Amino acid sequence: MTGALTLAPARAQAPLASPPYHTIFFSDGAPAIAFHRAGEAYLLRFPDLADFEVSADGLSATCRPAPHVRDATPEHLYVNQVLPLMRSRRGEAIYHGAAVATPAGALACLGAAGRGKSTLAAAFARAGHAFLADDAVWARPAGGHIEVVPGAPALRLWEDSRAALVPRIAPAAPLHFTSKHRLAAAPRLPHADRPAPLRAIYLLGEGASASVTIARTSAREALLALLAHAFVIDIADRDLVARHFATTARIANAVPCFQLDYPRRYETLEPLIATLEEHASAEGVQR
Amino acid sequence: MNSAQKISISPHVVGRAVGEEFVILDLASGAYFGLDAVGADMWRLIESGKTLAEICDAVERDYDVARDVLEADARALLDDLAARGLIVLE
Repeated sequence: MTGALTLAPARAQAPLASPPYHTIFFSDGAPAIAFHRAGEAYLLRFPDLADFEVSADGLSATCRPAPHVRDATPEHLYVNQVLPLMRSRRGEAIYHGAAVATPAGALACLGAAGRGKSTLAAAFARAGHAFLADDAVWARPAGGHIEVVPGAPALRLWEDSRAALVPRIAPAAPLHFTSKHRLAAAPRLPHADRPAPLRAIYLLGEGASASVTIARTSAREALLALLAHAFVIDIADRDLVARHFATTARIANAVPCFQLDYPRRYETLEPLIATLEEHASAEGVQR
Repeated sequence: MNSAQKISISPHVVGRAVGEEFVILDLASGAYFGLDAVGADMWRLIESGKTLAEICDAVERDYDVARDVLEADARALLDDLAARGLIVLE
């Protein structure tokens, strides 16, 4: 089930009548998304980029780009930010991160911006383990396990990561609000098109470790980490938040979670992937 | 609080067991709170409508602890939970 997007004519972002009920900020303190109410619906403002009017049921959205935005920015914002938030309105559990499909199952990586989630996903894909998602990891109970639903078939990488990992893959047209490259899935950068059972969650450290370190977290720590990385469109809707909390607790109980750190050098990625493959195998991960 | 006082979970509070622990979410403030295994057992007893005396009876059966120590610890936990608005002492 996907949400429907309508693209409306560009319009300057006029001041809104009421203050946002919630704001997500970039690491430099600038607002990234301001959440406003529009009756029972929502207006998500990406400053200087676009406004998205999201229906109360989270099933449809209308994008009004700012007048100077003429590239693929609206579509990108929709797929990577708005659509996960719309799905959260419908009770789905979606987390900021990346996920890849390995023979042992899906591995999800969560972490703050800049921790290397996309680079790690690209390195897995280059090694033949298709990526499932970059930016938004959709995890849902399926029978007796948790599965990751494939996201958009594209990754975003800084130029140094692209040049080091997939130099032959040309980036898509740039987005003017970021210098990260968008890379569409390709034979050398495969994307998984089917859900995969979630085998393990890795919380990426800041890269201070001189070697690969993997430490099991408690289920409580896993729950709090997942909640900290969740997409939730309406933090004031108690029924919705309670449902999301219950689903996330179910995931934290079902899927082993680990703190992962490693030196951020490209030459260490190949052995790191081998280490994680082994770790996530039946011998490495005990529930 | 007296030993026979009724205790209930605040209506704006939900909790879930995770592993051996328990995490409480206050939907009014968005704050999370953690309970260890004993605290989690007491929370479940509160959920089932037990009084302080009944909670101590049940915990005493499962843990090797002196009754006076148990009652003091249980009172301290319940007072703390009540002060945070997570439970209601009726």
